[in-house]
Amino acid sequence: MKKEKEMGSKDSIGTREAIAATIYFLSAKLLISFPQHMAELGQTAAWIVPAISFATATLGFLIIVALLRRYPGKNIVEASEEAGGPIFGIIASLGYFAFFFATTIFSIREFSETVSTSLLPRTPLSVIMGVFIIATLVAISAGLEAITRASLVGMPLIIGTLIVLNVLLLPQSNFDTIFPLFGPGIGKLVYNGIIHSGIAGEIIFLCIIAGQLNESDKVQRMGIVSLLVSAVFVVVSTLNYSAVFPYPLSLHISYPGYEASTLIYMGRFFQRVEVAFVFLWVISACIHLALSGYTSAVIAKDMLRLPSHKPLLPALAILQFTLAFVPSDVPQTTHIDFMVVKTYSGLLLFVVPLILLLASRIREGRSTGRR
Amino acid sequence: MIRTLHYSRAAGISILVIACLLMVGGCWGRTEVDDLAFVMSIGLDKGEDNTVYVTFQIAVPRAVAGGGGQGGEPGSGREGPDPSLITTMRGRSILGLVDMANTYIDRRLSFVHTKVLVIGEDLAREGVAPYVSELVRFPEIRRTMFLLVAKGTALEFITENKPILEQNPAKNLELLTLASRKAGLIPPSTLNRFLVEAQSQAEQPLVVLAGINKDQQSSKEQESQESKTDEEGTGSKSNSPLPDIPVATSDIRYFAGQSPSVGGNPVELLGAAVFRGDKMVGEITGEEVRQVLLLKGTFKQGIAVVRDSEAHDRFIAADLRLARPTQTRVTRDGDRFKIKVDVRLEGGLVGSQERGDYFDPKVLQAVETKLASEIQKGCRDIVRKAQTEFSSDIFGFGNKARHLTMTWKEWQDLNWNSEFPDADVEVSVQVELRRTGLLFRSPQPSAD
Repeated sequence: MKKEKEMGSKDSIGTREAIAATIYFLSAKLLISFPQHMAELGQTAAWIVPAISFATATLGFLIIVALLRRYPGKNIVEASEEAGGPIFGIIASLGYFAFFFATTIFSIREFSETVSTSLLPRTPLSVIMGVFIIATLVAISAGLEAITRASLVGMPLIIGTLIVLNVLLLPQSNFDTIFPLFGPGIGKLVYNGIIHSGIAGEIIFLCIIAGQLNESDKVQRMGIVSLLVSAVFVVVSTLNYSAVFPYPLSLHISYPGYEASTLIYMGRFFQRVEVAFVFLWVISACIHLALSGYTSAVIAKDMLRLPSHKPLLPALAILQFTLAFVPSDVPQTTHIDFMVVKTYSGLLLFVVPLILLLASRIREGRSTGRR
Repeated sequence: MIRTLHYSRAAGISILVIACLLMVGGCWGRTEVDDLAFVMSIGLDKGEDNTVYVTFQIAVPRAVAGGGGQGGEPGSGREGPDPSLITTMRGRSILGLVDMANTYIDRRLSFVHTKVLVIGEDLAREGVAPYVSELVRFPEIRRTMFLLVAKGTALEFITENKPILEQNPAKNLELLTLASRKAGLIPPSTLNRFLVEAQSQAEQPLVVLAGINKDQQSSKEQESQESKTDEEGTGSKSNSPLPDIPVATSDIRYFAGQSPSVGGNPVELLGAAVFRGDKMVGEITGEEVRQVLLLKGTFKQGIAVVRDSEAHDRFIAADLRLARPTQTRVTRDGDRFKIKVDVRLEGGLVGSQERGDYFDPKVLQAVETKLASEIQKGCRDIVRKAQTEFSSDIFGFGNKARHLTMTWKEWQDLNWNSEFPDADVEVSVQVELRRTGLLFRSPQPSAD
């Protein structure tokens, strides 16, 4: 046990810590160009798209939990291999790995570009990204327990920041601009919401760390609470951004969260407060990157059947750092992230477990029939 | 072995801490404050051959700190360097000229503290989207920057701004904008609001109108001429000690640069430039701005003056504010749109030249009715003007019409900008005076 602890693979995670980390994981996308992409998909009804996506992801999550229940004590990677056999199982695990690995790569680039544009325009991007990578590596080396505890400690701060930001932006908001209520039409909204359920794909994180949870039998409850709280944050904030930057202006803003915070003006003595928000956002970005980096490392470890994820960290970090430079510019980065990764990952993350669940049930049915 | 591990861990942590100290301090992109020249305002004027005149007003920190005067005007009592350096350049791109400015300004131009963007009238009429778009993309430019349209040129406005109470040019510009805004004689006008409204199909931008009071300039010139002739002992003083100031039918029915005043800063912010999209199509007076704000529901507070119904040479002043947010309802009746606006105001009498006994409810009610009917008439007039003269929904009625459609395509097909001029607008105004100031009855002179 002690050896396992030293290797960092068997941390003991409390329920509150797990929920806090998952909320961070699901909501931190608000800090980058997420609201702009929602405006592209939902026009004036930008806020309805994530509402539908989160609802779809909740259904997908329940399917994954049903699969996990069939293999008690195992995480989603192990359960997939059990249910789908060595070949199909490894393909499914590669899919999970690809999602988290890509999420880490695009998040590093997007968070770094946000910092570069808003705060440090003269600092080379590689330096900003390097600092993020180092911070992430340190956090992952400290283990999941440290990351989730940091999430829990930082949670009130981030919730407070989001609430304060939304309240301070009310004088700039015009809620008439969220009409016409159904933007591109109900059909398109529902389609876009479902197809982009990968927006909440990070919920799989809970199923990957299931084995390390103190109360692993409560994964379903933890997941639903995390999804619900994150959905409220994401939907309310997107709604507010839509009221501050009405469609079609919302299409043009690269970093709506940052831009909105610069609009806060409560008289001569209360303005230019975005620096306070940016500071907290950087902390959130570090936690988000640590979580996604950790998750991809753990999936790789499980796939390769290694005793610890730590030896993989330097290699993964170098790969992520290098691949983050592949997209030639910011628009391309955000486009690939939202329109490719977040579009098709929903299918992978929620449909593949459904197939595995069905396969496992059929297999069970056959073996019962034989008996 | 344990000791070696201990040392290597300590060394690792030390390297990390040092790296963090270096990085967190932002050493890479460091800029010393005294390496920067802070641009306080930017002026844009139309040039020939698709060029633009760009004027930068740059703070001179030494003069601001030391209370410099206006170029050391003799007799001003505030001799010293000017608190701001004003320079004008001509080119094709605003930001392209910034680098050129650094060939003769010894500090790097910084826009992080820029408060105001002033646009010359000619450029505003031609369309400002290319220049505003160029600026808002630049990270140093804040969208909360105030936006003004100068009657004449922006260069003239920036050059003629001679603050008297405030030496800090940044503070002067911000205070000037906020003071007029509080009185409801200029609209709220920032770069962000302009972008929102210029791109909206439901409302059109109103931008603060700035002007130079020529009467004040000429009176100053006259004074200096008189003092010169007095010194020479050859001139004679004017017979009337009071300046001849032309007045309008209302104390606030003026455009910027026409206020009935002498003395003080010759630049003033009053009224608004009306836009359709990104092009200026007209201008409205301070009084009309107040009516627009009432109809939009963004009016804060202001003093309304009405003529006494019995003694026509006497006036009553009431300090009014919105009793509740203005209610606007847009309905569709076949091809026509009906807009119903309900404005409720409350406040108190703050000045009365008449001899009314406000203990009598009928007297107070009569004042309320008079105020309501005058404001209502003003509101109807400005709506008609916006429909016929400007064809521009500066009231944001279109935002309420959005509710009539379910999808963005339906809303685009509705084409509010073409429907607004033909819409039937019904305005009702109610005023309730809650208090009568420090007097219930007006003083009665004994000779009467």
